[in-house]
Amino acid sequence: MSQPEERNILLIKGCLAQNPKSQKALFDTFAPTMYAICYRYAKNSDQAKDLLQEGFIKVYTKLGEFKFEGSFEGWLKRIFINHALEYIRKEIRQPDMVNVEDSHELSSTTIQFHELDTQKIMAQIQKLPTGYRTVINLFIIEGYSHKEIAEMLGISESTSKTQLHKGRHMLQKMLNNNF
Amino acid sequence: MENNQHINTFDAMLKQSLEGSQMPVPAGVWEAVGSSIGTKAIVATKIAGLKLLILKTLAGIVLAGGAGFGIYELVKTNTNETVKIDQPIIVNQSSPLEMAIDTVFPAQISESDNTVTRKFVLNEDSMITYSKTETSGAKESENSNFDNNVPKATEVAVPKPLIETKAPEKQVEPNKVAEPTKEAPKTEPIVTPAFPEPPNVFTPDGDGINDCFKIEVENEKMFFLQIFSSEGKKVFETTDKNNCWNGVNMNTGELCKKGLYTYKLLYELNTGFKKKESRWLTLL
Repeated sequence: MSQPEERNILLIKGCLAQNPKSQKALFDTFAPTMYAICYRYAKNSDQAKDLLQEGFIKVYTKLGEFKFEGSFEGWLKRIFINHALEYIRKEIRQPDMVNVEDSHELSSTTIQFHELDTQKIMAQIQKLPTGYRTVINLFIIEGYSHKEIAEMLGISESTSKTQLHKGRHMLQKMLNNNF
Repeated sequence: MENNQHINTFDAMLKQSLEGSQMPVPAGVWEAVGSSIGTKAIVATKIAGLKLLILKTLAGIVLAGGAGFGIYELVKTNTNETVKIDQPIIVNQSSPLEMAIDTVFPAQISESDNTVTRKFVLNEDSMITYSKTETSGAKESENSNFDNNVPKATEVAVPKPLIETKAPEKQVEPNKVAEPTKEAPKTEPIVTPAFPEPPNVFTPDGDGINDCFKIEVENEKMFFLQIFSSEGKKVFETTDKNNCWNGVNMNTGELCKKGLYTYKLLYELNTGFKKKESRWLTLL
């Protein structure tokens, strides 16, 4: 078992024992990473903060369900993503989302990503429409398939594909214009 | 195909930039989270050399006064030493990990004006014993025969690390716990029996944990619970303690939105004890 996982187990046991120091330590350890996740799923910083806060309350409530199998961080991440999706599902089923015209043209300029700063990309991602943003996150960053995304969001697979395509295009344009 | 290559490069770079990234956490989040998780349940903390342990649930009922601010007292039953604690104690869910040494129960809560006194009794033999408050005097029960000599709340006695004085081979006798609500003296209006604190966060998502909000109460002769949304609209009402609220608005049949709710609870026990209270409830 890796060292960080061992440390996590101690933290989790402390939290299950309601040790306030462990509870705080767990928060301090994972909040920056979880906040970055909330941030890229949220439409603004206020919503990101809400998602982080509510997500952590869920984490402490559900901690007893963690089976000590697999990565704890992965387990946490799923809680935060699922929590964000609960918010998003309502927005994403708006009919106008499906109505996307085909646009096969990708931006001709290749972006030099290594020069970009993560927070600036995040800021651009937040500006995307909710559907684009969510599908980009789930498909590109989290690596879910269109089939899985369709199930998670209650949309069709082809909608997921169109949203990704359109979203990727828009994000490229935004990044080209802003960097 | 060049187009696909662009896409792949773009995706890979985006993923590389964002996956596992971190951002500075905004101020105030921990405070909000901490207060939310701290208030829902019962606990172990160290205060002035004393270790408070844990309230175990008994037959599914958390026998505890909730967390709160107020005057806390610990009474060692064999010596009648009283330790007054005037800082808040976080009361949390019990923990099997620390369920060893002495056991402390918030047995009774008394209220006068704006002061709440919660009385904990700590027994070196690890037997859980309930005490009356110092003002309840005359009436005795088998578990509170030390009470007559219990000092007033203002007489602060010696804080002493009780953990070390514990006889480890002694067992907790859970049967002793079942009595407090019955024993609450009828003649003592300011003494309240131990009342279980319901969790104040609940998540009706079907995962079997905190899915349905209910109040655990025993020996009641009257029970009335109402839950209101933050706009003041009534979403739930029952006179049956076995009914729990699953987050559905009883008037519309729709699932209520997440957020803060308040509940109003009115109950009367067979002992004649009556209580009316209002508390927050978070629906997640």
